[in-house]
Amino acid sequence: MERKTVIVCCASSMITSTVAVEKIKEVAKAIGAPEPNFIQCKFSEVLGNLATNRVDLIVPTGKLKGIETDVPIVKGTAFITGVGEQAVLDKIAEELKK
Amino acid sequence: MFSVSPEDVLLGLKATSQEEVVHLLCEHLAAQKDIVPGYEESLLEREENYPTGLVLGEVCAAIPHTDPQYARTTKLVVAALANPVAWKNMEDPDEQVEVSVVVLSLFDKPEKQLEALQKIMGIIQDQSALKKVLNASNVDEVVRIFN
Repeated sequence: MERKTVIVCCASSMITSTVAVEKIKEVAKAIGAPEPNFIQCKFSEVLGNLATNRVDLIVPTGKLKGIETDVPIVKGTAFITGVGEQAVLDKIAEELKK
Repeated sequence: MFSVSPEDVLLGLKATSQEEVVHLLCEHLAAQKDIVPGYEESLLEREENYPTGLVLGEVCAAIPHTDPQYARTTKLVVAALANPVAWKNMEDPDEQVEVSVVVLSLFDKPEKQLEALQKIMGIIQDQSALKKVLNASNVDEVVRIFN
């Protein structure tokens, strides 16, 4: 499995995205994938980061508005609520395995 | 770790909207001189764009917070609402969730935010804890759940 680049983004303060980064690191470890290269940013910075990086996955903890991209997006709100977290972890694992 | 003071637990808070809850919590914080002018506007604006209503199960919660420059201290304020109010959903601001418990986190330093969120997550991911907060008959019961 090759090392993936993952954009993890949240509203402004980098808190919920920090929680998500830790969860994604655990997923990668669990499936034996290399720890992804993380780009942690605000929602407003996603477009710029997509333009300047080859990105494999976007995990926003909230709704990412006005972004049109072919890069898969897996919502990470479940990392805060705990509701449906396993399904989100599975989807992320699938993307990291590609 | 973060603890909750009995005076920061508001039981049976009566409000009919998300904005009114925010306003009442800001009045509470202002009375204790915990915030500076601009906090309420900042919080409302953030909730408008990046809401914090969370779908959790039978009892849902909102976790309002904003940038640290308007805060004079670091604390959590817990409100159990008399009746649920419609709150914008973090997952999709165009949707709403009926919120009965509100946990506001106030911080004067950004590095304290992660710890605050982790504390809050421990409670909100536990429906039985949320129900205890909602149905508490006195503030000490809520303080015990958080501390």
